[in-house]
Amino acid sequence: MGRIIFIAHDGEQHAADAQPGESLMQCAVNNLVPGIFGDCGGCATCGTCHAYIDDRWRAAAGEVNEDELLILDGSEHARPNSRLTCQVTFTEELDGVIVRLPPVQR
Amino acid sequence: MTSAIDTSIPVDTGDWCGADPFAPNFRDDPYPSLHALRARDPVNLTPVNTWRISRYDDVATIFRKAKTSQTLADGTAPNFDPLDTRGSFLEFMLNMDDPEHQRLRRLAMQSLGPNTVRQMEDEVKKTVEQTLDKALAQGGMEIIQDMAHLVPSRMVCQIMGIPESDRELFNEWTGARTNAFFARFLPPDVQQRTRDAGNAMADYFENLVRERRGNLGNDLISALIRAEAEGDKLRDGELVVQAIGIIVAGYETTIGLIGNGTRAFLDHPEQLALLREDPGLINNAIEECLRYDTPILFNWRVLQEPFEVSGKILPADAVLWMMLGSANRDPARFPEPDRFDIRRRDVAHQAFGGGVHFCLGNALARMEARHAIGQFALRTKGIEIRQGKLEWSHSFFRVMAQLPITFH
Ligand code: HEM
Ligand code: FES
Repeated sequence: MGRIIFIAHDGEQHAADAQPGESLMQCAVNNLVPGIFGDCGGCATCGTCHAYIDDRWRAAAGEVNEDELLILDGSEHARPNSRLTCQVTFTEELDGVIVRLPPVQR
Repeated sequence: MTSAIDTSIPVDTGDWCGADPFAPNFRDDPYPSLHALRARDPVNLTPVNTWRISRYDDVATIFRKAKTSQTLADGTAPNFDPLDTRGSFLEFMLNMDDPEHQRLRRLAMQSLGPNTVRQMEDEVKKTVEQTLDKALAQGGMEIIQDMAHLVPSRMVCQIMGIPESDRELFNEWTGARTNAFFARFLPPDVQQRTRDAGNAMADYFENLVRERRGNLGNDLISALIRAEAEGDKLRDGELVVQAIGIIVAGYETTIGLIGNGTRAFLDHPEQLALLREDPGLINNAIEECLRYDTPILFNWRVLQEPFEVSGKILPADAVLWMMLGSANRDPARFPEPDRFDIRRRDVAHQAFGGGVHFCLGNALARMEARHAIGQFALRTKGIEIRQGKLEWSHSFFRVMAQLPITFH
């Protein structure tokens, strides 16, 4: 068990309990965090789980994979710390991670 | 007495429950019968031995959780016409499972991703502007031909590298070819027309690929040829099939979104007024158009192991038709589902499917619709619009052939 802090674009915070092994997207959806949709169910095909991982946790979140790159590369709100949260698995090292949401998902 | 047999499942023959999607008039207004089907038998065995899944939550759960394939365990495509071979979708990514599906999808994604959306945006804006200039000067337009069809047709042909002079060839072919997705259940004349379109399109793309080999550009066909040249990435014939699949998927559906979306606004002038007052609503409005009048009424999955849906245990190899058009009007998910409301707060529809096959072109389609419908609303401000006679096309998708309007 650990914690994820989701911060919406307007600054509103949602703290959620997370289980090791689940994806950050799954945790957001289970906890009804607004702004993370997960339309494709975590297959890295829809891009509606896009978020920014705060620098402190970027390494712990792992490398961006090929499917994520295809979705993120060139997208309007992509930044160096962008991830598709369905591709990031929650681990103890990510406890307390701050995940910021982009202005829009689609 | 207890029994292992679930008697709630009809074992012999199924029932269309008043919602036969192959009936000629089904498209006129499918929603009352889809509501009735969902209420009466949300997990419905059809007379052709497939299961129709009508509730939003069931559709979402299957996309996310069920172990599924696109074909039966013996490799057969459950909905295709067995005689339909040339130019058929058998090897299109939508009919394949991973890892083959993923390989094809990644190749196509390189030409259909966010970079392409940005590159095409100015072109789309220009097309929309020109067509509206002409319409305003003439005092009316044919919504389908002059807008809903023109915009995606120009864009897809450019992305694929189809010369502008050939564009009109596809007007008939793509519409006819959509029927191939469910051709097994269609009448013989429609099957024949569908096969003819497959042959014509295969001829066309085989030629185009031959020409393009000596003259590669930065279009999608060239990208596929390069991948093929890199070795075993693309087998013979696969290339042509991806091209046919992408043009059908990318063109017919978007005609549906822009056409049906514009019609929804014409039928609800107060919503059109809202959008004119606050053009910032356009993104949410496009999502509402996709929910309210979904271009693809259903897609399919095949269960690889038994799966429980709303209390029924469906067996392995069950063919599921995911009723996207019904899910998007499910009152359990969307309050007042038959209301077209562009300010709806939660519009998370499933018009683009879900899971690994989630529509590859969704960002392109959304961008096209944003400009087409957004500009239409702004530029017709203060004008009274009258609708002429609507006609449905012979596409299997929910696409009109014509909807003329006049300005007063
Ligand atoms: C409003 C417009 C559109 C709608 C409603 C739509 C809808 C869909 C649906 C329902 C699927 C099947 C998903 C599934 O089985 O889960 C799909 C797949 C697909 N769509 Fe779209 N689509 C649209 C526009 C486009 C465009 C513009 C393109 C390309 C230029 C495109 C290319 C594709 C491709 C290649 C697939 C197969 C993806 C795969 O198998 O992985 N679509 N679309
Ligand atoms: S949930 Fe679709 S990309 Fe992450």
